[in-house]
Amino acid sequence: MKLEDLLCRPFLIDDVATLLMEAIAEPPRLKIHSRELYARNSRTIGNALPALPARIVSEFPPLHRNRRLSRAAQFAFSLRLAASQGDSRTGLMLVATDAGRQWLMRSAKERLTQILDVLRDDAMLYGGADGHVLDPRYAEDPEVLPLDFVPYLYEIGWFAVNPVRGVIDAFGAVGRESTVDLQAFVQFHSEQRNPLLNDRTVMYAAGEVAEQVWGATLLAFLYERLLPLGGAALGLLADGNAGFAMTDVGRYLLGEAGDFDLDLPAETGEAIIQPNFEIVFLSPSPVDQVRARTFATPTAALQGPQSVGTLFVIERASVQRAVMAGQDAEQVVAAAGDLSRQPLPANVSRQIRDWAAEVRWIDVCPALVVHCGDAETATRVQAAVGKRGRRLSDSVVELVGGAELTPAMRRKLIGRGLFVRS
Amino acid sequence: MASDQPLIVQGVDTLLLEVASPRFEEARSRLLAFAELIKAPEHVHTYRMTALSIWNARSAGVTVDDIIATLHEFSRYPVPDATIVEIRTHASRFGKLRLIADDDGLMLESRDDESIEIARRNRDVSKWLGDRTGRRTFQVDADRRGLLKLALVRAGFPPDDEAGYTAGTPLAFELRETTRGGLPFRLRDYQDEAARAFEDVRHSAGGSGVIVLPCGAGKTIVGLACMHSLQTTTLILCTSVTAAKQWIAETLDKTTLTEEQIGIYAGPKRALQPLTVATYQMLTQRRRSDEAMVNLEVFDRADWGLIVYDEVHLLPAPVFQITAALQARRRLGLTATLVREDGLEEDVFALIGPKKAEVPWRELERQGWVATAHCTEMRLPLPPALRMEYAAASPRQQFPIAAQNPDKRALVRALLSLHRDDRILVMAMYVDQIKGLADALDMPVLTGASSQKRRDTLFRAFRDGEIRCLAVSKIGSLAIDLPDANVAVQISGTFGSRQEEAQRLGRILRPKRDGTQAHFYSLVSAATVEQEFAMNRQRFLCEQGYEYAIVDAPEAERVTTTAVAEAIADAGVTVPGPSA
Repeated sequence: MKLEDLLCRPFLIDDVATLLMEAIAEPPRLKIHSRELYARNSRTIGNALPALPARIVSEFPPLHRNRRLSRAAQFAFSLRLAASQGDSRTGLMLVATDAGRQWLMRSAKERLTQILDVLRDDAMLYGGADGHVLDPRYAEDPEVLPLDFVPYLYEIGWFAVNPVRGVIDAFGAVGRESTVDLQAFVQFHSEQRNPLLNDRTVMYAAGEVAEQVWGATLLAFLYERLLPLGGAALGLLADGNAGFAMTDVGRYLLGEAGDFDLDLPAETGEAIIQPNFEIVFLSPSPVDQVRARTFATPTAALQGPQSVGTLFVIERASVQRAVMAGQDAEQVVAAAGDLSRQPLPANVSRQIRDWAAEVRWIDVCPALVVHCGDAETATRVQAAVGKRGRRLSDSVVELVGGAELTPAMRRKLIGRGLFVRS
Repeated sequence: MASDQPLIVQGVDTLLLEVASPRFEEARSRLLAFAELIKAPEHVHTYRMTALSIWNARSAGVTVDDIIATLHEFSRYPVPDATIVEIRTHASRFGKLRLIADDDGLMLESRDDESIEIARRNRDVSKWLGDRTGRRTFQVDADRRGLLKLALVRAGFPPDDEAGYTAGTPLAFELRETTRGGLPFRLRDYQDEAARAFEDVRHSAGGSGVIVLPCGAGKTIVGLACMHSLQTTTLILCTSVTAAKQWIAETLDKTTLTEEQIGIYAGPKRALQPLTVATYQMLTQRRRSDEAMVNLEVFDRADWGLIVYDEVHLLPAPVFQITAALQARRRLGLTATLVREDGLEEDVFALIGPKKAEVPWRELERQGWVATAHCTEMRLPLPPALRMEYAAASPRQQFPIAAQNPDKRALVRALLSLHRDDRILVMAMYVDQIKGLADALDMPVLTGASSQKRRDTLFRAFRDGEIRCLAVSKIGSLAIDLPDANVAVQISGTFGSRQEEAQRLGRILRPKRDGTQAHFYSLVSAATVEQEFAMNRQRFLCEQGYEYAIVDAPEAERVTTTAVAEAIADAGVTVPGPSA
């Protein structure tokens, strides 16, 4: 059987990268209690997620943008690639952690492997045990959501049998070259290979319920784990039914392979900085996008990590933001030069230096300033306060050392015939 | 993915073409049929498809499938579905309405009931419609043809204009093989191609259009070639009397037309001849501000078969309106930079016609038809005495303070000395500034107040080599033909005006007989708003393919020819040595 409108890309790594890149550029706001993104942020970031085959998305709600974004946030929090920052007073925001920034700088395969290994560890931990207990890795940080090999365990129910083994057995049984009708697969495993039917607990006394629950578990694993991670290829069969096939990544996730080949377009980082300050990406490179974000402004709408084209422009504000973040002019020029496949245009490097050189730091502090009306009065004030007085102009004296007029100072002024009016 | 393909389609408004690709040239020529070149910096060019560019392509016979096939053929990545949908949506609207001429006059006709109903219910469209003569037809007053077309374009229903053109009174003439000046003359290939692109549509439903060529590429010659192909009475509109005289001189030099057949409608001379050259200013003249323009009659006093709009990007608003009423006459727009600071480029295309030909500056430089130009921005600090005044000034006042930095004068003196063997134009926005500088440096100066006689005298002296430096105010930005000028020093500009920058640079782009390269210097007060505006202008030139060097000028007290030469050389720009 052949699949049409095939989806086999591990789009979760793109979705997490999109979220983290936005968090680096302009951290999105989170709702205080649920720690979910506000709708406006969800819309903006959701629109930047790379497109998936339209027909497939329309058939499968778990592939819709909103669901993809919340899944990406869950993985990012769980893997500590992102964290929330702030409180109810200042507002809560989603920020990228150092681990998140490092993750972005890795190759696509490394990024994917890091996620797969966390799930594989979970499966190894609990694959042989009876029932499911909370992973101690998450107990220390209540903000971090559990990332289970089999999703929605708590919603499915409490098993007397182990679902991890059952899921691995079911998907592991799909042959290497086989394409399977999805509905037939679920029906067969719900009715013929359903581990819940061996469960003697009251909950699954009725076989029909057990079949429904196990069918939902298998679909959840397919939609929430295998598909987003590129572990299965999903498509439509000639008769219009959904079908899927397991990939090398899927076998790795199930623990049936020690490595996998990832067949993705090379992220060669072909970026060019043009003399008009635009940065053009001739091939997708999330790594270079992260680099560019440190000194350039994304153009127009938020771009996804697989985007190509004119994605950034170097401008005064972006360069000065980089300086404020701790880079000096030469570091910005070097970063821009490293990014560009062509030599950095001379006018661009020169302008970056000029913009960086414009940055000045100032201290704003409360001060006590005495307006005296004339120079003679100002001289008397200075004589009264001694070293605490600093002449700012003919008739203005600043009292250094505090923003309050102390009673002792007031007495000294009165002693010279100087009365404070306001 | 085909990584060796040159095109990246980001969306309808952004098509990126990689210059280094082996298929660049092929892709470029195919894209130009339905997309506009927006930016052409060194490595990647940006094109844009608009509703109008797609409709123009449809009008020229390009099908929507051709457009999509071209994108697929050259695209490195899959073309976004949304882009294809948008192209099809725009294209599907073309030709639902058409303008036709029959025995009853001009009619707007619809191919379906919905389109005519949408047009009728649109207030901006319906005001230009006459009586309804059928379920799908409206009568249209011939004078309102352009206004109706413009309104329909804005409403998203571009009409297919099949109403044809007035042939005009015939005017027979030939292009000379040897000019009156005794030099051999033939059209260059790109001039011939541009004229043919205009000629190709001569017999079709289209028939008018815009030709974009860099300064110095010979737009006048292309205009003459288009006139030659039509052999009809022609009205040429240009920006100044000087430009009008240049048109006449070129026509006499390169065609068989005689003095008696050519008239100038400008200044005190107002002669209508089979070929008449008028200025925009003359057309829009009023006796009083509340009175009607008195010279618009020129459009109706002869049976013009062709109207040529020189520097069409400067078409003033009243001429726009007149042009809308002249849709029965063929129209040719000529420009180097179809950039309008008022953003009305689309109206130019809608009223004059689609872009028929465009040759990038780089291409002509490669072929040796325009001079290689070095652009250098020289930054100098404000003198200490002006810094507080500048800091305390309102944003409006800051620009003139920075632009008229008095230390620029010493720098100009050094540049004149450095280029002592060159022919130099010094350009400014402020009349007092350019007059003061000319006085100080003993240089002749032309401003808007200079008489035509003085202008003619000084331009001739410059051409003849009697003077090598000429100071000009804003009048020098346009249409002065000083072919030997090879250095321009811009001491102040009109804020961030991009077209002014390109036009000023254009003054020095004519290839020199001895192969001398051109130098364009822009003097800017560092760390001021002038630098910000200059940045905008500079970016525009970069997007046209020029390279820009930025040079810190020596401090005012250290400005010498040698110091300036060293500073420029440090930026990698080759200039003649101070001792040269």
